Amino acid sequence: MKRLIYVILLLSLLCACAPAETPPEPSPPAEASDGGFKVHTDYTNYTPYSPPEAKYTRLKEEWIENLAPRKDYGTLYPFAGTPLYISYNEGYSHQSGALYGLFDANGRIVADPTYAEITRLSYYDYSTSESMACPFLLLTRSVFTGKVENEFGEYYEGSSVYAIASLDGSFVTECKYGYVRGFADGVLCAASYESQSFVLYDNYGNVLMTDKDIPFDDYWCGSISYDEGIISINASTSYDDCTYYYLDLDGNILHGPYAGLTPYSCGTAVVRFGGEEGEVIIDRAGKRTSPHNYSYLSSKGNGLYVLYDDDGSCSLIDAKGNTIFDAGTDTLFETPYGYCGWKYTDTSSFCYFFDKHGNLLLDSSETEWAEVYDTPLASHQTDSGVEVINVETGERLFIPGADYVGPIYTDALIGDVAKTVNCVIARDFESEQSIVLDFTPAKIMEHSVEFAQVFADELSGKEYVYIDGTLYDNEFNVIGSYPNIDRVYDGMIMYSDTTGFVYADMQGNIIFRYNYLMESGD
Amino acid sequence: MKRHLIFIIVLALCLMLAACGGGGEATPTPVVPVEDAFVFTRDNFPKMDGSTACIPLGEAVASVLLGESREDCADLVQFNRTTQSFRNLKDGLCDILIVGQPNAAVFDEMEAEGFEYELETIATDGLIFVVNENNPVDNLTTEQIRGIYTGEITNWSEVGGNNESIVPFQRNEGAGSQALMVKLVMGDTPMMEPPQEYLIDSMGGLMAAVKGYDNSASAIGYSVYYYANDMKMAEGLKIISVDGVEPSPETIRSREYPHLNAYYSVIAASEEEMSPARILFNWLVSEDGQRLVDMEGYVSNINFE
Repeated sequence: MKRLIYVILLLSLLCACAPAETPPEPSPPAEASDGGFKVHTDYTNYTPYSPPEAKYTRLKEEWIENLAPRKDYGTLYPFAGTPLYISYNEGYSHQSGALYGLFDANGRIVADPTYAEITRLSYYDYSTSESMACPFLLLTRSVFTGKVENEFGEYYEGSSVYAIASLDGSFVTECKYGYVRGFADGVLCAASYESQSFVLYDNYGNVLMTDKDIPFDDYWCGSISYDEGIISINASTSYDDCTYYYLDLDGNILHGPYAGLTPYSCGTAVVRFGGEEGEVIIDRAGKRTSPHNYSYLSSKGNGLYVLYDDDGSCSLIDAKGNTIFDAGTDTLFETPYGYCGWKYTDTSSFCYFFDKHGNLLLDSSETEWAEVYDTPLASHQTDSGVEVINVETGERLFIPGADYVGPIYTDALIGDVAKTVNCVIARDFESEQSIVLDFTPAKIMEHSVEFAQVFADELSGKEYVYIDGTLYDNEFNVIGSYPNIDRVYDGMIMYSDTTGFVYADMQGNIIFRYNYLMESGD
Repeated sequence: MKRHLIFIIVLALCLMLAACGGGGEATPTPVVPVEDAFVFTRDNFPKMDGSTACIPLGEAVASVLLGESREDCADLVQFNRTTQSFRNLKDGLCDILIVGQPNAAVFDEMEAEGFEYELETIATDGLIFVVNENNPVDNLTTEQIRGIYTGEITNWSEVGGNNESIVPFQRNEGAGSQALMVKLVMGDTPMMEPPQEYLIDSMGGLMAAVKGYDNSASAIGYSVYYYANDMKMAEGLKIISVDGVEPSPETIRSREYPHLNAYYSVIAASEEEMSPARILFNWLVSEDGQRLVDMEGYVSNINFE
């Protein structure tokens, strides 16, 4: 019996090793010959084209024009629909973008691509000098209003209208607002900048205030700011003197009128009194906190102010008017490491770097150092390259051949959370090559870079660097390779190819694929 | 023991079945180069350019001539769209095009600059029309299509369908299928204004953009057969016959289908006889090259069925 078993197994193995009777179809010839040339072909690694399958479900069978509020979506994710094109210059066609839709945490499309743009709403934070993300999506739709023909040709006229939605879609406004402004603790939605009809929501979509609460007849929504629980407003549609007020959320006047004011920050604000020269710092009750009127004050959002003196030199003061340090420069800007000021003469300009306490880090009066914006680096160009110094550590690095050193900002699409990461790019224009530098401490991270881009996760704000097809985290650990990257959202990579739009996780697994409905290019 | 024997026989049968069932996927046998065969390498491989619709074919060509996978060849298939790729060939930025029909203006440009080229048809495609799969209309005449896109025919009942308004979607000027629509169907007849349902903001200001298919029951639109069928772009939509002819590889190859469009390979006329670009140019119309075109789902010049 054992022999029989061995024979059966042997026969079966022999069968397995023998070539199939039917040759694979279609089978190309071993070598082609045409026009007298034989061409070597090798199909070893060839696989016939197979278009990627779409990967999503739908909330409804029918086309979903507008996002409807629901409590059960979970996080919403924007995706791009079929690319759109415009043609100009006798046949040059350029991709103009796409319309955007949303899918939910279950991979269901909950709004078809009908929005011209979907981004995070943002506000400007004085304390960090950066755009900060609000907990809302800004849904933009462009409205065609007419076609104009004149001597320059034909063009379309239109305007944009906006809706806001919470990140989980539980709160969604109508897509009808022409002016939306985000604050740290809320968002104002109005028909337009110049209108007198608005709704102020808190960050959960609850109505805090409407135009009915405003005690004035004459104002523009564009003049309203909401900071630290206080409304500031210009009660005039012209630039009349002394028409600025601070209100509470019930519309009660807290104090005013002023000839000018700034929003509250760290419990203080800057105002101009009617009939007085200069600016004054006040507290929440409207009482002066500083002993003097100053020619010009710029709030740093952390309770400190840059004072521009009458003689033009800058110093940093606190809300009580105490001098933190006297920079003696013509300008003074806050930076991530401290302050940077410029001093101008008739023939030159010099850059000075200070830490947050006013200690001078670098004096460029002898060597023409220039700030590398939004980084702790300064650069100095020579005939043979660019020298870079980390003003915090004093480390220096010379980059031969470089023509330029600059920060890498997040993609403009994101905008609302534009940031830099711990690196800059040095560019050699002649060879068209770049290198990427880590500036803490300053050292070369990547050589011969052709393409570098920075992304901030639009939900978490975590930063990533994309260099020549490889994605790194902000500590330069490799995450993976991607053909291109459009955005990073909630820890997922968004990219597009010729067939569709894709969300992949950090391991490269495709979570969502929306294939374009028509050809993506000519 | 009997149970063991049955198990072993079943196992053996499974092995034999597995051995016989290997023909599901086309896996051509790797070849050994013969003497005098031209061998493409990454060093001598011509720089390709062309249309977006030809990217899969470009990848396949690079794959079988270099022995690499499609994915590994992706860096060699950076196509810049039809019209721009012709300009790139003229300017010496690439060696060979795998390409669809360009904007006519580019031929004038090439002539004006004295650029001479050679062009061969390597595959044929058709401009097809799609409606929602629930639309009862299965066929339109070219005249009816022209009537729909001039705005003369506005209701599906006028062409045998339901009493519903027709929503004729167009592509923007510059999209390949829009150029084909004008060339093959409309001719000198101007198309009606497209429905400007959405606009899109850009750095250049506000500009018009036509919404893609919304797949509504009353919509009609157009694309090319390769995209709509082989690239599975028409899911949920129905491809209709035109002038009574259903678009298919057979009716496109036989030129029975009325609205056809060619894919070409193009090189500079100055390419030498033994240059890699000319060798590839010739290979694409050879039986071997055409078989690859067919395997990739394009309607090849040669019928291999």
